[in-house]
Amino acid sequence: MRIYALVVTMMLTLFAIADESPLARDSLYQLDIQMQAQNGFNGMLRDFRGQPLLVSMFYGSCTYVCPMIIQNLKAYEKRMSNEEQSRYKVLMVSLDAKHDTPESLKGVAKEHKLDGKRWYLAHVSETDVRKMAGLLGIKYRLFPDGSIEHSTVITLLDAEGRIQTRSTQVSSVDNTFLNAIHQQLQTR
Amino acid sequence: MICRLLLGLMLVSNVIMSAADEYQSVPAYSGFHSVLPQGKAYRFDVPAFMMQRAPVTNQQFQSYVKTHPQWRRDEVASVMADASYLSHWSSALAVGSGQESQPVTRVSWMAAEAYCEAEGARLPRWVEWEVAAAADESHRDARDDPEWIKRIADWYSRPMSGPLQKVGQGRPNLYGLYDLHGLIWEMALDQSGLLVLGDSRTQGDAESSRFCGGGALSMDLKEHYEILMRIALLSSLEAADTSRGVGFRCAKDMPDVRR
Repeated sequence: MRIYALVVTMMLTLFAIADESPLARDSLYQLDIQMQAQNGFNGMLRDFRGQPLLVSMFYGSCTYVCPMIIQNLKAYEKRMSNEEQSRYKVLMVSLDAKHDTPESLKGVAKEHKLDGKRWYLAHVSETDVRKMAGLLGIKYRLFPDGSIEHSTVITLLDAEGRIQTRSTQVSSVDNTFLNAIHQQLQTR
Repeated sequence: MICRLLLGLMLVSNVIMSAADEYQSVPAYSGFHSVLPQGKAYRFDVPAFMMQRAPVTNQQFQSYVKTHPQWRRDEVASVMADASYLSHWSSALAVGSGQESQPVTRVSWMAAEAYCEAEGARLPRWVEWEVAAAADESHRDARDDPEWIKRIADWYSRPMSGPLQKVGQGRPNLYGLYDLHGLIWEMALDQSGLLVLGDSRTQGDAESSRFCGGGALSMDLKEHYEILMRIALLSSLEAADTSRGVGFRCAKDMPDVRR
């Protein structure tokens, strides 16, 4: 597992070094966000630059909608060709900065059998949770009992971090969204 | 005599303007009646906090942009601020005369929060703003007072189409805070989630998005139309949206206060 993490980190570093050109003004990677993921990734949001990315937000103790989001993303993954699958990357940012750590998120990844090479379940600071949610158009509210209510949006970013399309349909496959993912993963 | 009076007033208002970035302390308020449900009830124990005396002015924001050029209107990322960001300024780095002491508007939540963070602060939480705004000059909760209700209604009934007033013109409230009513709509840290429902069992297909109508808001405060308007406005703003009537001031946690 550690070797995978090391390889992934090195590859991501290579991607980062490879492209020093200025970011587009509508790129989400304009925002400095530090994150730590269950697969050992410890870096910045913009480290994902260089390949398309599916992004959403969730939290570890969420029992209803969050598993649905993950299942939905797995459903899209299944519909990719082998080649596309190798480029399929998902970033799930936790809304629960207080309780979700890279350690605890490992448990979530295991529960859903998520491949650490392609699925990043990330912890960011409470301040950055707000900013990520703001960028993604996700509305959320923290309740005193620890529950978090939130809107569900899956966002598809292109290799430059620009929003290509979004989907709020998480209970079933959205064919428009599916086609957009195909398109992104084929453009290489 | 009148000259001296005018001079005196100008000095006083200058003092207020230059002190507008100073923070006032707002003591803790336990059992505060919020318009938003907090768990099962509408009562919330609000810890003590600090809040700027007045909204951030154009001049103050100009100083900020000069030292943080990524927030210039001609440089800013479109995901941080929309095309109307600071459009009322005469140039990217200059407000233009006559607007320095007005509250800065046409700034996005992203820009406002960045400004506050640059001085070790943040936007106020919704409930902190509620506590601050519930006070008149001598009571910490004046919301039941018909006189106060009338004053608020008068302030908010002024048309927004005219030029904005300068900050610090009115009387400060109990906490020494100015302009909480009727000048601009002020942003909150947690504004995007204000109307998010509190019952995960109702979360099914995300198509019927998890937003309530007025049903979950406390009806004891229904005469305070301005509160409902503020919720409706703020919760509808996306992080990069700017608006002519929307500005902000900053807040801080009180040191040594545990949340």
